[in-house]
Amino acid sequence: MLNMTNNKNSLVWWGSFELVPGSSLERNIGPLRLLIEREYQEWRVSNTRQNAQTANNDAGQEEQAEDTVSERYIVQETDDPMHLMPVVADRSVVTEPLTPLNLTSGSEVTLYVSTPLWYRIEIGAKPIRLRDDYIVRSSDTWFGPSTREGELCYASKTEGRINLADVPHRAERAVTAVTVRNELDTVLQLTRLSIPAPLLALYVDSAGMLWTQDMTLVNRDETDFADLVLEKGDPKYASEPKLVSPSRTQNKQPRLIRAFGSIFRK
Amino acid sequence: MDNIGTYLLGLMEDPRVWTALRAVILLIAGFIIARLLGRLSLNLLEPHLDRHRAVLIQRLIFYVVLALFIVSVMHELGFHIGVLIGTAGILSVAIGFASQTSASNIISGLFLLGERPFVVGDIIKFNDITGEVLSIDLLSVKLRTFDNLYVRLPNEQLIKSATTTLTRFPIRRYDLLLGVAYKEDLVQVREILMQVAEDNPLCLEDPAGMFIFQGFADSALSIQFSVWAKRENFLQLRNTIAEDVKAAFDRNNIEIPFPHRTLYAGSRTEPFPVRISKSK
Repeated sequence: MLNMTNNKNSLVWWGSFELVPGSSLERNIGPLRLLIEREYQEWRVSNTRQNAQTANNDAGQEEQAEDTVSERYIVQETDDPMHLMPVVADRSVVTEPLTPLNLTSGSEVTLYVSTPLWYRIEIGAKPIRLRDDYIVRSSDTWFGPSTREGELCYASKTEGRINLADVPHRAERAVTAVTVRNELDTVLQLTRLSIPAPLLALYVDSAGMLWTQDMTLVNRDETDFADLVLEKGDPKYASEPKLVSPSRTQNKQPRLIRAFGSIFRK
Repeated sequence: MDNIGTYLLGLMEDPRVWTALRAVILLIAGFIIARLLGRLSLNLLEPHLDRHRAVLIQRLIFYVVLALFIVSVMHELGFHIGVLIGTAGILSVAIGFASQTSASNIISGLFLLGERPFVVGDIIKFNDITGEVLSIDLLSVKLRTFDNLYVRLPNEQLIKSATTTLTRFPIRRYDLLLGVAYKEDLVQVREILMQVAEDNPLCLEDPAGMFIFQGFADSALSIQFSVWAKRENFLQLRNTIAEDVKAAFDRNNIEIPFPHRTLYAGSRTEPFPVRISKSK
């Protein structure tokens, strides 16, 4: 049985693999341990994650309990290659700066914001999609003008780093360079920023870190809405970026998005 | 054989038989045409209107066309329309008095359709009845309760009283009521509860969970902890939050007390003596 495990230090966990029946592939993606086993006409995918409870191990010490969930997929062909790739989250991600950030009138800042990633397993050339699942389950949150209308998003916190050197490398998250420009006379307080993750494509840089394309948000009025510009082309701040996976949905026309959430201000 | 033949021939020469035959044919034709026209109107209207209104109009057209054919049949059979209408007028007054409730229900039903406080598929709560709306009919609304029972709510009552539509808005708040022992530190309890909300993925980060102190109750400090979730996840959140709060309290030795009664016999109460006796 051939087992392929990635080195814990390597950030590149995706790729195309030829697995013969009886072999398996194991990947550690952040807190998720992914095991993909190949049998005759069958693929078995197992997710192991730590759950919130602790249990006593044999030595009487408390350790984090783990949950393993497995699923089997029946396929027709036995010799197709398997593609494992990172994809963006399936909902917008609302990110809140841990320290409130204020943008003075006429100024512009580029923040490096990270969003949680999903993984996708596909088979063959067609390709047949086996699985599309989150790596880490993010918390739900509501983003909208009131409790009656809006959309369900994922919640995230950001350090609001403006220095690229400070951005940590994490296998389970992608970095977006968000440029925010305040064209008003008043100070813009960034209490909440919505990143439209499904519109973003994923790139990898020379160090193995995942990026999305750059985003620019221009604040022109007092409302929560901002002009969103998804920059065409590769992320500027990534070194030698290569496309890894496309966006989930296409952005058909330039749009106004609800980018700043001011109503639930504490 | 011969007698039956003569009898039939005799019948055929009677003009009344022909009239009766014509009436029957008209009636059958009327029924078929009314059905066809109703069906046609439903097919034409269904893409544009919701199912309810389309079905209502289909039924209306059916009955109107049938009524017209019945009137012409009556005319054919020799009844005078004028007399019929007069009789109908008197009858309708009598029926009107008798059917006040039904008329009220019909009108209430029309208002319900127009106002749309809920539609088919919504889950509504009326007094202590909760269920999924199966249909909004002329006289009543039909519900299916969660234990799979069929409930008929008269429209009149729905218009008169408050009805709660549980599925109108996308997110819903759950109020967890609990009490902690007087010896506990409220600040610590608040932090623990907020952490539980943050760790639970179904619990929305925004609107954030609320910690509300209700009062110094008889046996405990009364607290309300309100958390929000997507409406579809409400039941699951309710259960998981209760489990998580209990587990977090157990881990941090926070007591949820049983009802207490303190015995006090005056300003200087001696300790109650307790004697342990051994069985012989």
